[in-house]
Amino acid sequence: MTVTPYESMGKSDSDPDEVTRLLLLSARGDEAAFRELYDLVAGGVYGIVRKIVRDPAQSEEVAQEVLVEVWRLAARFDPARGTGKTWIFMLAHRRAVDRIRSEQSSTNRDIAYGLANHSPAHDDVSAEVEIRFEHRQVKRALETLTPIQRSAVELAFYKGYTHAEVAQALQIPLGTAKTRLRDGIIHLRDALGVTS
Amino acid sequence: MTDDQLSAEQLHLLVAAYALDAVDDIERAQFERHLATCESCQAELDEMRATLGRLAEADSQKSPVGMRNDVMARIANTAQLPPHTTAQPVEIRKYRRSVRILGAVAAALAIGVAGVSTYAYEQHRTAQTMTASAQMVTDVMTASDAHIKPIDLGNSPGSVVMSSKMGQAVLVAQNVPQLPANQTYETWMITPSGEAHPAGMWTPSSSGTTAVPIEGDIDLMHGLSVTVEPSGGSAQPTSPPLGSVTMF
Repeated sequence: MTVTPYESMGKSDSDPDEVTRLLLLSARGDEAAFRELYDLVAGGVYGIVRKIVRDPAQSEEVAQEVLVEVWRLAARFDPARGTGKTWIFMLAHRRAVDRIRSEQSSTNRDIAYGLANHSPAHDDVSAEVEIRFEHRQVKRALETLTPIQRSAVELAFYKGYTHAEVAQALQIPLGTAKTRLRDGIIHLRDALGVTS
Repeated sequence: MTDDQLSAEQLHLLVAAYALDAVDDIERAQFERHLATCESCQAELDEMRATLGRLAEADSQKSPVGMRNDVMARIANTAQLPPHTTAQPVEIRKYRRSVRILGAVAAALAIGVAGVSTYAYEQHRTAQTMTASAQMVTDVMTASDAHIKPIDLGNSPGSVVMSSKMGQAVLVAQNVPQLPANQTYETWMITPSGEAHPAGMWTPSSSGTTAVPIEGDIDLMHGLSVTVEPSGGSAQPTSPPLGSVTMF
């Protein structure tokens, strides 16, 4: 094994179907396939968890839990509903959000985000962006959203806000928050050319 | 949010929030019930997830040194769950079925037949709130892989019955006292990391045996607790549990 300070970057140009194939093999108890799968997705899992949870030690803990859960639940993955990558990253997102919610519920969560700072407010999101193609694409896609759509999607996706908290933070009615989230994702879908 | 039933239209609007995990546990349970039968929501959800998967991937980072070894060591000691088998309700003659149910309930509660005989009747009563769930309750209790753990709710002996194959679980308890109108029993699913997820509110049957389905993803169920909450339920437990059980 090559000795580098980091093990896996999530070889980004890998065929997404390779992840799906390896996940299906893992579902049958194939540990060698799971090891290969790990190398393809660990960087993505750790990355999104870190983005949401932030604390490195906790992020690693959650990322490990997610990867073990991928192994444990692999047989529940349904390739008819999407790619292996999507399934794994959405599981990672869910667990990261669960983690910050359980933390924040005990620490009196501060959602006084306010309209005042809502327009470029998520520069931290883009500031951390490395200059990578997929990253640039996503950044560009986010820039095509209206400010409210973008804030709504970012608060929910990167900060784990519920739609009720998004509504409160942006001082918009609950129904509007739901609609903005929906419009926002549909816009992103089109901007990224996602087909399912 | 409360336990007020959302209309189908409101549920459709929740797709995006659900895809983003921007729902509370009660909304999630409600939406998932809707999702199971709504093809247009399923299609929309799949597309949204594919989109959000791209967002997640864009944040890829180098994973920490040593994490691979830790994960590989853990999976070597982690059992995998079987795939969900979609348990289609099978039409079985009532008498036959009730004999099987009586057997299962007796096993679950380890009590005499007299206590059990109210069950078939109670099942009809709870069906008002459970509708499709009544079938599920009997299916779980008669599942070939039913896994049963005793739980003690104060003075009310009970059991949790879980079927991994069906992906479902049921709480069965005997002689649970009624609560004042401003309170409700609430079941909590305890995840492996110790978080409590709301898993349903319920009213005990007026006599004999109460059987309630456990809401949520039972793959996450490491244990179960029951508390008394203000009517309408809580997002997190607000009182010490009446009883708890660890499933594994």
